Amino acid sequence: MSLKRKLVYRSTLVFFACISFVLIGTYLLFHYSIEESYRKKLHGIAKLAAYFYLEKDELNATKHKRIEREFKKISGESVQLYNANSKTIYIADSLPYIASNEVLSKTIEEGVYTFKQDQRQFLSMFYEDNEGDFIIIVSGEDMEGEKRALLLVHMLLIFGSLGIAMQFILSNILANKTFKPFKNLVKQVNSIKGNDLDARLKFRGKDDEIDQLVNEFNYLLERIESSAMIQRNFLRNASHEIKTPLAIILGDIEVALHSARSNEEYQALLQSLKTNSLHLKSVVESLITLSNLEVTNTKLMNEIRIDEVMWEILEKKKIEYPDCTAIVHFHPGVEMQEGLLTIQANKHLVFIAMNNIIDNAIKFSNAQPVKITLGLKGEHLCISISDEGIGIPGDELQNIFKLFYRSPQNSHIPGHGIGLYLAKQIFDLNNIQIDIQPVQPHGTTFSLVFQ
Amino acid sequence: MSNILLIEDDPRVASFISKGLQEKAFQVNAVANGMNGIDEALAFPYEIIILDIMLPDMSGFEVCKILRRRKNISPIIILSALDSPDEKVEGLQAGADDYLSKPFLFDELLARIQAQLRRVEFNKGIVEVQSYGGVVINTDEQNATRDGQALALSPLEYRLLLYLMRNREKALSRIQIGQSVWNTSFDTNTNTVDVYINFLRKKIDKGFDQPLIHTIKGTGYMFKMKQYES
Repeated sequence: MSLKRKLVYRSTLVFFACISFVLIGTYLLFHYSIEESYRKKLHGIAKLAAYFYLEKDELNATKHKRIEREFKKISGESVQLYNANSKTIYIADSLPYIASNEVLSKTIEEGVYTFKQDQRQFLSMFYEDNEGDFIIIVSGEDMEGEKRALLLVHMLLIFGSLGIAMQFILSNILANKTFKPFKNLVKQVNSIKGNDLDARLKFRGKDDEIDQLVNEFNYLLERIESSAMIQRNFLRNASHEIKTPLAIILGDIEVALHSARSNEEYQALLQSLKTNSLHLKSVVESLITLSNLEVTNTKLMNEIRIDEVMWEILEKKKIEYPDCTAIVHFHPGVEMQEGLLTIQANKHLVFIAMNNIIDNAIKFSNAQPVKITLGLKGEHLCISISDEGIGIPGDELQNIFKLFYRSPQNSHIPGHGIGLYLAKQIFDLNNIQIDIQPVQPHGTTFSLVFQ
Repeated sequence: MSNILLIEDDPRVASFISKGLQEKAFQVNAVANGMNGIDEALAFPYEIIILDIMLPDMSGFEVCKILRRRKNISPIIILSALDSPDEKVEGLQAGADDYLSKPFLFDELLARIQAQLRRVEFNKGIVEVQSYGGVVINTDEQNATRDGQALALSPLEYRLLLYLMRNREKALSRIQIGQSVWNTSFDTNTNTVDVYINFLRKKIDKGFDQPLIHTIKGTGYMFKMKQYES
């Protein structure tokens, strides 16, 4: 069932409930007032009967004649007279009814007592007279009232049904009108195909819920578009990064095979092959780590000693760059608090990230030693890695953590633009803040703050 | 000359590893499946076993477990194309001593082989220094106790303690300590040695009457039971 249908049915149901409540209330009130007025009539008749039967001796003839006339007019109601003391019937009529003892005693107690038997209403009245105490019971069926009540029921039913039908039609129209923009929206959304992600939904300019929805949907489209763009660029960049060293390797080999070379030339060639293969290896490894970041449970954290990770990296670097040196210095604050070196992190990933930073520092340090300082920033451990390279120009600082970004001035240093991006992603996952500061007169410091 | 058993099914990988190691004066015996590898390893005491994980007949982890169950204690270095921490853990739990993922630098393999050989030598030499001044080192489990209390040492602190125990009652300079304990290019101008001596001191001397690590002004440190008189 569509939302529109639901709305119509539900609002009709609610209307039905309300109108039934009102109509039933009206009927009950009306019925009560009819009964009440008939009761008054019966009371009047009872009084009249009392005067007619019991006050004959007290009233003068003309007055009693008038009462008699009035009394004779009564038709349809039965009047019975009982002796209150002996509780026996005194004057009966054609009604096959004898009041019970209970009714009579109740009447003596209350003065006036009304009750109902089937459709017939009874009113019994206690009357004290100089000839003794009497009870007058008047009863009748309110044909007129019943008729009127029945008429009212018919009226209520007819108008109630008409009202409900009208409500159904009107709410249908209303729902159609309300849901029309949604229908348009659905049509627009349906017309957006998988490849035209630059399409946007039209605003109606009404600043209502639908425009909010349009806004949110357009925002979603924007994000999808940009992530699709990143994906497309990623593939292009990644294949570029893989193809370049492959092309160099193949080219080197082909050229070398053209003619016989000297030993020195072969040595140089192999060296170049090694460099490019290593570059290729690093690209592939970084890409694999990057894709693993998305699928594996990177939240798997353990207590690790960050200094151990650092020493492991430095051991590895010594093998990769036998000539490089790293100067590690501990600030007094850290020296006194060994606990600071224990952090919650994913060791495998943090190793990769820190390795990328230290590797960069070594590559860009112009054969100068890399300085690694373990200090404090506030209450947190801060590891600073400084190189004495050419430094990063201010306008490039914001770009260096972007995927595949390479500084134009460093094109002579092998790199693929994944390392720092990857490092940043990993540090973010492990609550490690990374900052960059320029070093005077030249060089760069990366500082890692462990929170 | 050390004997190395190489269990690797890919002939190209096996070929360059054998060639490279032979040039570095190792004796290499290469086998292409797990069964032959196990037979070979149990028949001859190899100094090092290099083990591929994906073998045609069984996994490297299984080879590793079988060898360890049969009381073979040669250091095992696992080579694998997969580089996931889980696999590393699985390998080490199966009884391997080191783990290297492909592609690797040949120099790194060499460095790790040498590290394993050094450890074997080291373990042979320090049998008599495993207990001193109440400190007991368990080289199999790589942990230490003092007066029966377990010491929570990081791997580097453990290596430092081991070195100090081995060279007990000798004055050791910072440079000596640094170059022996750290496998990195060591710079003499830093306070690294002092920092780790300090860490170690807190763990083995704090709360004990008799300090074991003593500072020798102008020289370095000494590991000794009795108070050093300067």
